[in-house]
Amino acid sequence: MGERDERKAAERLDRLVGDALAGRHLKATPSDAADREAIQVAARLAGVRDGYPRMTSAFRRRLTGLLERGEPPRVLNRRAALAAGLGLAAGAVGDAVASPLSGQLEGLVAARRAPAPAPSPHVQSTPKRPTIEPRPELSRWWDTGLHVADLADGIPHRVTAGAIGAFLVRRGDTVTGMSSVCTHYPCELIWQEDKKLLNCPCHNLAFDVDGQSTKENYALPALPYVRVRVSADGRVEVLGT
Amino acid sequence: MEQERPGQLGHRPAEVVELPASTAPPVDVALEELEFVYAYIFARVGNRADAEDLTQQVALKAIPRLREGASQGAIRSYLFATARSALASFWSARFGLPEEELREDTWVDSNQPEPAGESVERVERILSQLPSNYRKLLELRFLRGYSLKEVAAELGTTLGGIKVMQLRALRAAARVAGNG
Repeated sequence: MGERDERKAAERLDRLVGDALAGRHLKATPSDAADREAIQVAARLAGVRDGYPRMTSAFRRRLTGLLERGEPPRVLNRRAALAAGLGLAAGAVGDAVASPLSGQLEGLVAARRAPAPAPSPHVQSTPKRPTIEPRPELSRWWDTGLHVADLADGIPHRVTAGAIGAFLVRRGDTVTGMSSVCTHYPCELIWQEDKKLLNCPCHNLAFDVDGQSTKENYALPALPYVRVRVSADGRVEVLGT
Repeated sequence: MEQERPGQLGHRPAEVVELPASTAPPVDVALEELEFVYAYIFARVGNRADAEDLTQQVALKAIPRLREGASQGAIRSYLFATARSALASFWSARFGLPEEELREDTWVDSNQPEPAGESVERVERILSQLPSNYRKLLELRFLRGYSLKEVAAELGTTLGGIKVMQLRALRAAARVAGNG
């Protein structure tokens, strides 16, 4: 293979690798057949980057509907998809959509390293933003297995608390939790280290580290907060189901 | 996590395990099994979008079996056989090659879910057999989430150079996997 051909093949392979790492569909074509083993091994490498993969809560919900109805899901129009996205993101699990959020929950829900064993969430008045509140009878605090010191400052860390997926972001002593589901389509967001953004692989929309939409003309709702608490010894817990 | 002896890695005979009849509703049983199927597929296609599409295909095909009230073991076997077939079709459609040519012979497949972490161990074994510069590149890019630009900076080369090196590293990894 000539140098030029090799460079061309390298460009092509990198595009495929970039898509896989961003969670997007693999767009390989018959023209890639010569490098199929390399592409398959790239897929294998990409497949282990998050450890043991699990279905997202949004996808699990979709499959449940599929199995119960026994037929493929209908294609959603934009309005229905937005409504579904908002509903799932706001509700995650539990019925946050059906249950109006109480006034005391609006604003930042974060946890500082607690001086006392059972710290209450730190609540600020602005910005106005929903918080996922699972039904009390279903909710429980999940130990994430993380210590505050495990969270790099300003870098989201994905965790699950039962059926709720969340990104935890530490700023100094404060840990904030927010939903890991996009508020557009119910897709799980992926942290892009190079861009410092939480990217939605379904439509390439993004949120910043604070969970705010980066789209200027058509800003999406911010990611709902998820309740977090930090025990006296620094263990991070998330309210899930 | 299940412990493996080094000599058995990738060569473990498939075990036939008949699971006891479940009292859980069929949908719950299927979801439990589909979680394993999803992990199995994700480990092979490497992205969530395709893994979800393929898992959904498998779920659709399983619906008639669920209605027949098959045992959990039978459902599991059927789901994994269907997943392998879906994966073969997936690669066949992309590369325009017959499915027989694309069976992943180099990766042992069985009708049982992989123990958590087995895919990781398998990848680590491949990486360990690569030259150090290739290994480092692939580790940074795939396992530590570096952008190609960051990898180039880390390895002290240009972006164009690192792309070519990535191609060579992946081809070398494919050869190692093929020989494994």
